Amino acid sequence: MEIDEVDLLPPRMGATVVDRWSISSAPEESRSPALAWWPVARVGLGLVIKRRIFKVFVGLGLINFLFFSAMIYFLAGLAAQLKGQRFGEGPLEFARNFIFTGTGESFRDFITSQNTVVMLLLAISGAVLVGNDFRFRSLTFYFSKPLERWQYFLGKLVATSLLVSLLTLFPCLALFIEYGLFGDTFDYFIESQRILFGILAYGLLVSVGMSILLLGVAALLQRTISIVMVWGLVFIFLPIVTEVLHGTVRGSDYWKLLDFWSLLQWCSNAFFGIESSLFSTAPWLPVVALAIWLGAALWAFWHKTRAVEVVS
Amino acid sequence: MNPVSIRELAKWYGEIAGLNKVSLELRPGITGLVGPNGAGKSTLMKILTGQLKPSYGEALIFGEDVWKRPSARHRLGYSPEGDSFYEDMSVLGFVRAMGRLCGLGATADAFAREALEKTGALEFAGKRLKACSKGMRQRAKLAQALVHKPDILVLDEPLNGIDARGRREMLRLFDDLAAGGVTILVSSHILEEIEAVTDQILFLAQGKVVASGPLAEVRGLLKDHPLKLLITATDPRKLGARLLESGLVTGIVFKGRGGLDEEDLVLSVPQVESFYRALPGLVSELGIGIERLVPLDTSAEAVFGYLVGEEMGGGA
Repeated sequence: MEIDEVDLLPPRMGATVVDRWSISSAPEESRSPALAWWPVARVGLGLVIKRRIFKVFVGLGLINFLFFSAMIYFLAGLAAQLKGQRFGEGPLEFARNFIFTGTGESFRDFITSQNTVVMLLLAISGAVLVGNDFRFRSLTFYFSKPLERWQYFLGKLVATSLLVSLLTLFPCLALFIEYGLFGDTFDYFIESQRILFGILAYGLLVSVGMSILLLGVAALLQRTISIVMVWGLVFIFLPIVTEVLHGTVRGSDYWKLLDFWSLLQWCSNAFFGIESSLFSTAPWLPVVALAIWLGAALWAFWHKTRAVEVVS
Repeated sequence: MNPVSIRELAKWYGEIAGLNKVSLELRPGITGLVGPNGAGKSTLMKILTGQLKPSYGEALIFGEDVWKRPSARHRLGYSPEGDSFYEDMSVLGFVRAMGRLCGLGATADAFAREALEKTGALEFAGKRLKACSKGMRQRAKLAQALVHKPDILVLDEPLNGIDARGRREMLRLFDDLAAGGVTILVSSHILEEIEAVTDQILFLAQGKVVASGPLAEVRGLLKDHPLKLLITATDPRKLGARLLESGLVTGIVFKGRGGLDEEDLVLSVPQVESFYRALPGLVSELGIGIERLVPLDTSAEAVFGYLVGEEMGGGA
């Protein structure tokens, strides 16, 4: 009874061939295949930006930015008014050093202070950006399209990185430009190329690094509550534990390699050229530790996208 | 060149074979894909749409390996069974986004509207997906498969949740597309649904294509197979014994009906005409009443049951 390897499917008999599309003909591909990741990023951004919680976190991030921005403006104005006055320079110098100095440290600290908001935003957005694709099997819509897995990854990475940059890199660059413009000359821009490099490098590391970490965690855990818990473990609990262990085993910085914040901080110091005693270990160890963190997240993401193959 | 060529396709999940050396060709028109749960329908569709890597063999779209060359998927539209969308998106936004994933740029909006119109979903294009009924979601799903005007459509249970009127419209759309040269592969576990769409059927079981072709031809292969009949009688035991004695049946199964001593008879009848001729006389002779006589073999489900060596039900 069994009929194997058969081909009994003749073309439909008597069918009239008509124009199957009444309005227009089949479309030409209008985007380069190299940019196939962009629609993925666009969908991801659209999903998060429409949410009220996103606006709340952007608002929180903006408060910090506006404070720094206003202070630069205020100090510049004050400096112009007090110029040449005998008693003006002392308090002004104090305020400058206290609030915003325009040095690498101040820009580093700005991005670091924004990281808390970024951490919260990503914890809440992880499920929307990535987790739900896995949880509700929406991946099938992506992978049945002319899209490769790495393009899907890149699209999600770009979307998440843009969200993070919106709170870290872009406002920091704005502050840099503002600070330079309010000086007497434009020499600040010429003299501060290392600072600019530091802003770009640290901003990109925070944006891309935290995004990769989120993609891995969200792909693995999928639900918001689980992502928030692991996020809390990585960014709150682990730093406390490593600090305690570091204190207990005096002189050993190896425990600190488990602290993602410390690793970012160490990298930021290196980018801005700031001397730091954060790690007394060999300098390549924090780099390797960071690479392991990100590598593990990448592996988790890759593993989960491969797991689409499992038919339940 | 055929739009779809599948050559010795095999997929293994550990020691379990999802597909076992399946080879087939699909030409323009509609082909129904049927089989029980676990038959390999989903695996076949996922490999054909480039979502799964085959363990062995290849699936070609117009001669291009769909797994190795994702660009081949430009000519393919897929509507999955599940309807996991981005619930906050509008129907139009979703279809437009899917169009962009297929490479459409500035024209994505126009093509999305056109696809929505084709599937009768334009009237609720602005509605959020989370507010859509099952039928609306099916139409949205179909529209996203059509948005880039593919040459091949792979549709997994496309008529689930659509009302009778909607089904008629969908069937007409499938016919129009097929008449225009589109190759359509439709899967369903309801054979009546597939029969309404096409008479070209692929039967899949245990990872293998066990039969394919027009349903009538497949039925013709079964002429020597005993027909199964279900009888509800006032005294089934007595009737069963008499039927066996007469040689009109080759097998009897008693099936309980819930109540005590309430049984139906499922008979294997080798020669149907003789059986029907002799039954009234036998019943009269025994003084038994027949409440119900249901042939279990007239539906395609029964055909499938025979082909895979298991009874599919059919009202028993």
